[in-house]
Amino acid sequence: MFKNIKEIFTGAWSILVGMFITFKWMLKRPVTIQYPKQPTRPSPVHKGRIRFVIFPATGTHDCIACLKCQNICPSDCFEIKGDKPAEGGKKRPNFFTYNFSNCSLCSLCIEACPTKTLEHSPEFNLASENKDDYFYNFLNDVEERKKKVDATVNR
Amino acid sequence: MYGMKIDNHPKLDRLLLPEYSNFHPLRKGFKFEGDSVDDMNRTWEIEREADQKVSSTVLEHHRRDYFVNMGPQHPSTHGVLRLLLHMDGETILEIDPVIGYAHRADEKMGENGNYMQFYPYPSRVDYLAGMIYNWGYVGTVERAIGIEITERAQYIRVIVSELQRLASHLMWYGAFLMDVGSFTPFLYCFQDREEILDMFEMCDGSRLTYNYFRFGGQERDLSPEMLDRARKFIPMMKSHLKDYEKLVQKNIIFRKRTEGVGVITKDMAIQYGVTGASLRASGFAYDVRKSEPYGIYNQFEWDVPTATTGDAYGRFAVRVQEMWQSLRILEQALTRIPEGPYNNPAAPKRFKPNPGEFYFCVESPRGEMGIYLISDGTENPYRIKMRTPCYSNLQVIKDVGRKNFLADVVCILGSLDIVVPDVDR
Repeated sequence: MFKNIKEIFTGAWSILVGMFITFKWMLKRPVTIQYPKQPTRPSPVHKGRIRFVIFPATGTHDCIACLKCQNICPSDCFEIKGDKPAEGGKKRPNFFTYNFSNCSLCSLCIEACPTKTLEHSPEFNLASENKDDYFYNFLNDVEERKKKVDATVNR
Repeated sequence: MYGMKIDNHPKLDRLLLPEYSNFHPLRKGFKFEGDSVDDMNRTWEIEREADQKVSSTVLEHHRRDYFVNMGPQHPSTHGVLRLLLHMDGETILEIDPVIGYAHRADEKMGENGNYMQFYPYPSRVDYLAGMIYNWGYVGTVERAIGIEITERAQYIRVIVSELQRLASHLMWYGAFLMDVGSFTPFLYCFQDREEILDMFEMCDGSRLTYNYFRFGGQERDLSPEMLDRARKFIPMMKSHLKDYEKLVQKNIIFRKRTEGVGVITKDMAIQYGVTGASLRASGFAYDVRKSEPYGIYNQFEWDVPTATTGDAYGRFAVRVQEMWQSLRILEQALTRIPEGPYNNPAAPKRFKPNPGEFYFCVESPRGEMGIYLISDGTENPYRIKMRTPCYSNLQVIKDVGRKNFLADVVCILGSLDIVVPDVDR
């Protein structure tokens, strides 16, 4: 009997202590971010999708279609074809696609690249309802990004 | 998967494949074509017919006992785990865990690529302890090729592993309390875990499935901002842990719910190969970091917390104490971290280890995780076998859960801390 009464009191006290802690936390500043309204920024080393680097010196990428990224990729994301241009010089890609839906973002291709022309993009809201959106043609992608860069520079 | 015959086995049937299939995918020379595809289709039909027969017989007899499927979509099995419960009223007569819903053939994937190409997969086996699993794989290959690790890299490894252990325990803390019926601590724990994941995003770039370890070092250095953030995080975490202790461990409802439930005795735990906090709660102080120190864990001062009760509350208390010990290791590592290279530049890009067998194990938040590697002297591993803790820890539920109530099964399963891809691989 005495034990039961004691238990009731300790139980009530433990709940009061818990209530006090919850109340204490209620007065703190909220940590949630109202995401679509309030913009967030990923860390500088964030691993987004893979893309070509646009070197400021040449104004374009430096891919030599050596297929090292294609060979090291654990999940076969890349499909690359390349030729030597008729006027001579380095081998260049004429077809370069990347399947983001297979990619596990392990950055092995970036480490394997001999000309350092691959990087992770800082984009993070890449979700889509359409499966075709995950296929990136890198050559078209570079042209589009160059246009954007030009537009901001000329403005 | 290999088709091994074991003498005097009480229930010898296929673990992951259908019972009637007669092919063995992990054997060398297996090809998934022709006969095996037809076989697969045929066996599924046979299974479906057999299932229908079983369900009709149970309905005919109007027996007192009955079967309940808990899972695979039950929220408190923490993934796609199915428990087949044989029940009499509210009491459990028998528990039969059915696994294989999240099987992704991680071991076979290791054989198909070269050593570099298995980098991203270990962290996906146990997605709550990615950093520690990365270390497990990288450590095995480092042992095979005999490469030196720089001192700063050793410290970085300890820091990220202990942060990962904290994150995993926090996630478990919230989820377990949610299982036994309290909601508030879940939100608090996720707030702290978010802070750790932000730190990981600063060092690796990913938030959940990392690929931060390389043979001989790390992918990139820890930035000074990240180290500062970790130093600020420790006192914050300590004050929060004290709050949680008051909130949860002194709460009488929680105590009544967990004390004396699901007692694992020391002998039972050793027989089943239970490791991690579930073993230490039974009074056996086995921790890979102490008994077989890897990395530089023998240079730090810390204790192995144990409990003697072996019940769900004991496992809870041991894990909470482990969080304090992780903070202790972190404090020492963050003050002593030296300057220097984070990577060994002599690390080879392509290599052929000597033929032989290698084993390296790490202490994951759930127990002993080891990778057993057979090399035949080529660029691809001959066989990678993962010893994952959850597979052994789950088996014990068959003995522990018997004669308990249905609500207690949720509590026992939560206190064992199961991650389903870790069971299935």
